[in-house]
Amino acid sequence: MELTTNVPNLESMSECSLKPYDAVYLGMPFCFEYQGNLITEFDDLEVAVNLLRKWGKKAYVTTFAVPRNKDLEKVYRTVEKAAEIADAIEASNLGVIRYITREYPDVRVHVGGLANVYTVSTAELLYSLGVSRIMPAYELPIEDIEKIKETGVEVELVAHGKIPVGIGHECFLKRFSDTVGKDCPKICMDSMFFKSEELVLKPFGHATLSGKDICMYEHIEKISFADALRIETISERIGYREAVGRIYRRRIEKGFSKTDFEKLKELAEHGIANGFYFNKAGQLYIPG
Amino acid sequence: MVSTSTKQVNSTFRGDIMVELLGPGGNLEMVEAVFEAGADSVYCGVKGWSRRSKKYELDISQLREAVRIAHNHSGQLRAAVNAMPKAGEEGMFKNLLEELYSIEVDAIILNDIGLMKITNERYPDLKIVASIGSSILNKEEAKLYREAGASLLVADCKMSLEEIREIKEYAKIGIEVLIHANTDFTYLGRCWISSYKALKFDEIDGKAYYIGSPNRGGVCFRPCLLRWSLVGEKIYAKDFQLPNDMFLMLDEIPVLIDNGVDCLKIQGREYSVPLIRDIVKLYRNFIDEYLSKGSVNLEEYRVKLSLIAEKRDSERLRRTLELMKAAWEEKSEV
Repeated sequence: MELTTNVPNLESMSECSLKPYDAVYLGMPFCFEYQGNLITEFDDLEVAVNLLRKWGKKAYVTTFAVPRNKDLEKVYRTVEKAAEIADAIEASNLGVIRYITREYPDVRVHVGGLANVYTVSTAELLYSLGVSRIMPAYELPIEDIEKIKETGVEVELVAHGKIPVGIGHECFLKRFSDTVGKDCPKICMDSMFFKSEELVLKPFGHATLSGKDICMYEHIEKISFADALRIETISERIGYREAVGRIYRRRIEKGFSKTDFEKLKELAEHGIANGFYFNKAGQLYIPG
Repeated sequence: MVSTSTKQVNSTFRGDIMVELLGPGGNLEMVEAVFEAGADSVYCGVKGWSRRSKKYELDISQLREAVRIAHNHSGQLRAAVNAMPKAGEEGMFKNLLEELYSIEVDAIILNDIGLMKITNERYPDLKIVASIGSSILNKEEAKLYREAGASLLVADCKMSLEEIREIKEYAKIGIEVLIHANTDFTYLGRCWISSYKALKFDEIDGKAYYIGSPNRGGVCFRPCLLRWSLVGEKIYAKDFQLPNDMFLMLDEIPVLIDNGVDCLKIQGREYSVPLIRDIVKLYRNFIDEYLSKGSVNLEEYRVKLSLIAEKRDSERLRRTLELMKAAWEEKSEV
């Protein structure tokens, strides 16, 4: 099983923090304007891929998740560059997936979680187009994901971290630039949350992320059928990526540790949850 | 059985300009009302399978009656099957498809591209509409849906006229635009905030049903309309709502018609029959006036529309409060 994570820019990469991982998704898929975004900064992308090679990791490149017509050429430039240098390209838009599988039939395509793959029939359709791996819709419970896996396509699942719970046409946080006193892209660098009643959300680019950290540490055996497990760290600090990665690496190789589990809870600023894996509200946590 | 590929949609037309006015059918009374008010077609949710509460969906026997009403008015009926089923419910979907085809629905509204492919393979003469929940964002994506069998797609509310034109031309697909609906800060099929907040798993006749997940056939608890704060190192803002606004389009309609938009859709299965009747009637008159005269007195319609909007807002507020209460109580009957 592959342990993966993601980094938005070169600045977020260090050998130490990426040591626990087998493969790394490069680039921030929720906004083109993110500072140093590897999906647009191609010189940095080359450096990042070379570093990952040197460190013995696979390099995957992600793409902008919600491209409109005007964005397609920009996305295609990312695809062209990634096809040259990366081990796989991640895409969450069905149009982009169609484009890559048609224009670059030899390139591995990973379907991102925002592609909304809910059904076996859609998984089969994408598999027939030539995609290698699918991250099913975040809203799917384990029993649905197992059925998707039966199609033969590789499956990647989020084991830990903040998952998208929405994505739109704009960065809503930008509307608060004056109040916060920071413009794009600086405003995104701070840790900001929307709060209401017991609900906490994290705005990040065009996406809104879960405020809680999805945590499958206690339940990892239930998703061990997956071909890859993702530690979702695109909006996190380097230290978080390193600490969580190490804990999950130990979990996979050595088993459960109460100390490690407590550490994960400490690292989660707004608590932990199981997402939708158990047919419950995404923000709930079911103890193992 | 109806062969929809040869059946002409009962659209209003002027010369070579045609546009279909589509109204909601939240119950049989509403189906009758939207045709009496002048709609060309109606859409109804199939019990347990559409993006609305089961309160506003129709079972097969009701749908059969709704089809009869539609055809008596020389109109058409679209069956909304636009919730995402559970993986592995494809068998149930195929059985449902057979039933819907046998009762002569004229089109099926789907969200999932895999289900579109299945539908097109089994019933190539059944018109497929890609739901707003498909969140089709660009022309390349539209083309993939076209290849899977969709002949019409519902454009996202944020899409510009230029984007619509490009998509129509590149993908050779019909375009439906929502003229009464709501728009929020996420793409409609790409929002899970409601089910992240509260979710109740249920079953209707063996079919999975997720209350709290609009994508999976339940209701949306509208958490965006709670009172929110923006919190970082300090509280930067408080007591605001995340965008979720209703709109009633008017000024843009002539431009949409002139640019070849194929269908104008009025959302609102959950509203009262008198309100929906008024909305359909207003748009019917507006479209007819524009198509017959080539111009329309916008100010006159704006006044009428603002009165309708007031009634609509009052009904919507009641429904929002009901849904928020249901989310707190995790009620299944909403």
